[in-house]
Amino acid sequence: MLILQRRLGQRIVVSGGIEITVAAISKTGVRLAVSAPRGVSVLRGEVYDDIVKANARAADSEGVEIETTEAIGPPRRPS
Amino acid sequence: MRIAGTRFGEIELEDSKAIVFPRGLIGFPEARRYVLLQPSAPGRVGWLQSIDSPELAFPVIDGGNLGAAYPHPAPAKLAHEAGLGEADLAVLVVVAAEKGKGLVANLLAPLVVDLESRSGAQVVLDPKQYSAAAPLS
Repeated sequence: MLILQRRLGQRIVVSGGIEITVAAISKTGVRLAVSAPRGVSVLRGEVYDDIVKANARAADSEGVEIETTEAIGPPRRPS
Repeated sequence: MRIAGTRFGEIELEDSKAIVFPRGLIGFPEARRYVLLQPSAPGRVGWLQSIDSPELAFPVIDGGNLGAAYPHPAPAKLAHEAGLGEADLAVLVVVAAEKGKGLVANLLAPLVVDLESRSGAQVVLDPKQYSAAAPLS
């Protein structure tokens, strides 16, 4: 793991067009400004963990009706 | 294309029915290609079945049944932010069922799919507004 010391206003640049700037520092926390390209999601760690858990629970679901057979195809085009 | 899914047995499909999630689902980045299996009746549970991992399938409901206010922001904006096409959008909500409990819906992170370009993404809404485990009545 890379550990960096940064001061207020300084940045970290991650490949893929991601930049993290130290926006404010207080006794209780650090405010970070993150910029990333469209399509790259930036999440608080605990929110990410909640969603991973919800997805895993869904994939493990028992007892959900399963009588589904027909796949949804591409949209029909007007002829 | 043939999928030997563990929930539904063997499924035979046209290749054109695949939907690609270029980033996978959150926590499942490797499984990118899926097929959407229709619910047996409108408003019931359908399934997003992985093509690459036959044992992986997510139960989903149509987000369109959750009221006009869902999702916020609107699907077109979500699709744009996710870098998806916006031609024929569907919003799917992943649900989970545990024994003895009802369904819970992940309203926080719906799947936005452009059925025209056959691509999708799991997007994340405002955690102050939506829960990842909202009980469904």
